[in-house]
Amino acid sequence: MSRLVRSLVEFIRPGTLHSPSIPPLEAGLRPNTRLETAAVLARSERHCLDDIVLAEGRLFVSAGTTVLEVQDDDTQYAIAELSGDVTALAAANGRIMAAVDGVGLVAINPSGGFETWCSDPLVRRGVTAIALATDDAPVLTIGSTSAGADGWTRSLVSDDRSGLLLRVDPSTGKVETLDTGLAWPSGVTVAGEEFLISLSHDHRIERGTLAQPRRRSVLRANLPGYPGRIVALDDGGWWVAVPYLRNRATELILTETEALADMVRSVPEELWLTPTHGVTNVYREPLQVGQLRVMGIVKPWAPPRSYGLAFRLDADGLIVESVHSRPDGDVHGVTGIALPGRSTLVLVARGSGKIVTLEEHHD
Amino acid sequence: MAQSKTAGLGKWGRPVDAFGLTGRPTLARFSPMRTVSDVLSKQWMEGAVPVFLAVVISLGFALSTPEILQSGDRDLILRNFAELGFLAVALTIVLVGGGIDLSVGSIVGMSSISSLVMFRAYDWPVPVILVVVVILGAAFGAINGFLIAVVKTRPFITTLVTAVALRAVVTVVQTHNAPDLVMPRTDSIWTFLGNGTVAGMHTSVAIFIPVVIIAHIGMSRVRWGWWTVAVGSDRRSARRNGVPTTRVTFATYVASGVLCSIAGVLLAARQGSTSALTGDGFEIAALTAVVLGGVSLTGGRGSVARAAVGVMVVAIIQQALIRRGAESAWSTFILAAALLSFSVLDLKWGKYRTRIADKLEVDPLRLEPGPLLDVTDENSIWRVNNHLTTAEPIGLGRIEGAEDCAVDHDGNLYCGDRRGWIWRFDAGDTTRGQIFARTGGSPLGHAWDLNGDLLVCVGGIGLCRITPDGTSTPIAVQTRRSRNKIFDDSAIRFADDLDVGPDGAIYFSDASSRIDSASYHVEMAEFRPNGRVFRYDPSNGSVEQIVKNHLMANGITTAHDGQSILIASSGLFRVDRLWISGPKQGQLEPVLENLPGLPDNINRASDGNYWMSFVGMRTPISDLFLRHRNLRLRMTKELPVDDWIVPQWNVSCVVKFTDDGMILSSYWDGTLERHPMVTSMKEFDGHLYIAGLQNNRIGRYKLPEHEIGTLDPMLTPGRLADRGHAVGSQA
Repeated sequence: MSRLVRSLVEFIRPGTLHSPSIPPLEAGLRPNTRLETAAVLARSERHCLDDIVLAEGRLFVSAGTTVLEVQDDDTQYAIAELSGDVTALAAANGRIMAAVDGVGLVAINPSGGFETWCSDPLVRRGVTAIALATDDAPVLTIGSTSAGADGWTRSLVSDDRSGLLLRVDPSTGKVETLDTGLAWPSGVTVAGEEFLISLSHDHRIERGTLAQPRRRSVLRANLPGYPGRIVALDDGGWWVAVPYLRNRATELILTETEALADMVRSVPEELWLTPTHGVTNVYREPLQVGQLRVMGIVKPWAPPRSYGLAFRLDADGLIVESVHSRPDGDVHGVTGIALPGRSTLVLVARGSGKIVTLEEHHD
Repeated sequence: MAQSKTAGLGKWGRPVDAFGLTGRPTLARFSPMRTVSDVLSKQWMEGAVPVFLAVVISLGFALSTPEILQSGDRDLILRNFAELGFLAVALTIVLVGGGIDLSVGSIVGMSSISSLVMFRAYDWPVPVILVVVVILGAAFGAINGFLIAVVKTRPFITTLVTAVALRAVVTVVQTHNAPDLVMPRTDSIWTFLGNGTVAGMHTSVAIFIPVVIIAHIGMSRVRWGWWTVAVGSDRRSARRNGVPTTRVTFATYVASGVLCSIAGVLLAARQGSTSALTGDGFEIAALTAVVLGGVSLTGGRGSVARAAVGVMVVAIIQQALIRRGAESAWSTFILAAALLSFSVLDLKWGKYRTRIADKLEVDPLRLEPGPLLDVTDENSIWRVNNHLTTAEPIGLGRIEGAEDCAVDHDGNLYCGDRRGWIWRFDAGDTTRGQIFARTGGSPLGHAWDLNGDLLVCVGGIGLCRITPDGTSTPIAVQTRRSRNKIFDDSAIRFADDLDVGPDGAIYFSDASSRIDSASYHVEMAEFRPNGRVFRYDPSNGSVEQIVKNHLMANGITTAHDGQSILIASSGLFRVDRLWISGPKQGQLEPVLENLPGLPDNINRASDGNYWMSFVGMRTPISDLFLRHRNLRLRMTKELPVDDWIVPQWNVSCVVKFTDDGMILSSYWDGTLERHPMVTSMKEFDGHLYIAGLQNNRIGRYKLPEHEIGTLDPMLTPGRLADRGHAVGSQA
């Protein structure tokens, strides 16, 4: 949508495109401490754990340039060391499909060894999620063609809408562009003809068909967080990772052009007034009044700089369950979800470098 | 020695202006937004706009109909002014009390006809007539008052019905006595009332003016007047505050009846005749007059003096209309139209005046902070360590928010609490703590007076002295008001830290002249130099402002030389030295500049240096917000306080610095578990006592040997000889 049309729509019906208020965490998103109290499967000091995938009944996690296998007893084996950051994983017929920055799509054998599968320039940078369609064609999202896969923050402050939705032909390796001009697509899942895509900067999840990928309907809009990767459940629902929660101060500075430009120019990126996966340097990070430690306690409902959240959507798109780690906790920045067993959930909390596991609740 | 030098400090002359420290141009001193807000917040603004408009309208009439300024017309206007004026004063009293009296016109008619009947038909002496008529008026008012205040009927309908009933009675009396009313009779008092003059003024005007003055004073300066305002503003609150609401309401109607009856007599004396219609339509004229004068129809707001102005306006308009030959119906129509439009104006003005004032109240100042040091840099003197983590906790879980503390000669610890208390913990057994004193405010800085009393700066109160028996007495709560400020800055709202000079004078800081410690976050968003430093002279109790326009004046300590005090500016990240004696007296000199945090309290160290704590550390984002005024303004308007961006209050440290402004060492609690925010520290007997405004303990940290000197940091420099009866000896 062009700027003009956007402004017009916003003038006629304010709040349709950009809602100035952040909805509260309520109903299905009612806060709890389930992430905080979840069993820790593994932890990494490196704070670069990212995606997780289940292949052949085993769990594989991407961490920087490495793909690790994680076992129940907190042991981790590196199964592949790649030449660039692994930015997304998917299971593909007994192998693992990995998006490697600067390389493209790489097929990794769980028992060791890997080969480059597709190195089209389009898929070499900025892949944020991969899903395999029924015909084994990888469907992928590119967060931004300019900022790179680690450029979520830079993309947010520059109002970047250069994200792509791509499909790779499994036989020819030819890359087909399904849609362009997306606001940081950060997750995708395909079931049959239908797919679900999360648009991080737009705080929404949309649903479409591979035949007509540009004609999508909104499944959830104006979410209180920035949605990330999506994992489909067998019964038609989905689990959605939410790496970041929205913050009012961030929304304010995003609309204050001059100050925003000054921030980008003069402040190191990790200290920007933007959501993060977790605490990196408490001595220099911005603070909001509500985050003040009073009598030794940070209140759980403090405005979040980082937060841990994943939620389950049912087939109708209602949020029916969520797991949280609130600002007083540290299992923050959920980037990956895997479902290794019936109603068992494994989540990667990038902010704390933890992989936790918990049971789904069913009413 | 030092004492004799500082004894001459009595006259400081003009306070030192610290605005220059902000580095902003002179123009930035002025805040048009805030000026408008301050003006709108004034109590007198309530009626100012309606009255101003009314006066403009009457001037318009007067200028377009110049004839009415000639002496004959002027006289008529003045008489009208006086007669209608009584009714307006009556209505003002009733309206301010939350009621309305529509029977004023009928009471005028009733008193007018009855005084004429008594005068002509019965030949009573005039003084008796006057007394009887006033009693009658009071009785009619009492009927209204009884029905409304006691029986609790609605004022509007009640007075409307009594007005109609009285009018009927007037008609009956008029008809029955008509033949007798033409009887001629002359009486000097009667003639004087009707047509006499006092000092060149018509008698009615001469009576009216003192009535206005008395009523105005009565309504604004006397208990019954305040009660009336209270009842009119909020009847329920008034009753809960012990105001006898029934009696007050009753009294307003009685007063109204009395004033109307006086008007009735004067009218009868002037006209010499009467009709059943006397006083008819006076209600609408009087009502218009008071509303033009800014008296609110909803009760609780209005003044008699302004109502008098409104009456004058109405009198002029009426006379101008007569002069122009307009029909009297037109006159009524125009008055009614004015009444309507001014009551709308009153409603909207009353609603939006304070709202606009609130919106314009906070006007952030753009600042350009210097480059920010990285305290996490390994090679920095500031680098984070875990020294304070080992501090032994005192009063853990019992203390809530001790901003500062003090240790007496025997090692007993005194500290504040956000609930207004001062705790005392025994030197021998620190688990034994008790509430030593209750201040009633928010206790901040502590210091010992020369005679051993504890001095505490209490946010919301001022400077308090606490004697060894735990009695807290406020000794400095206000100062002279600044002449050139619209805002009344005489109250000391945010007394923050203090120290005692060699001559016994107490120097203390006031972080903001505009807000108190409970709303400190507003100051954190505004960053305007609202703070001050005061000097309290115990010999005569005077509170003198010695530094003005200081940005968040916080820590104060007397320097080791006894000739200067150090002042920390939390908002400008700096410490300055103010010379209090010697050749440079009254000069401000920088000591520390561009600190990486917001300095809080400063205290002397035993080795001749100083300890200073930080209420929080600067962050690149908090500096960014300082540079962008508009961003901060929008933040205060669009975000809830919990979402405001502030410096990093969850981390801070204690540093030691020299007189030359060199940082020697820094002490942190890197775990953030025990002392995340340190707002003050006091050295005593080789230990540092660490207090935190948001903490639940006092930490007692054993200082390493090389940090300990031979001086007693609690002793006031220049008074070392007086050790015998110095600090804490009685506690």
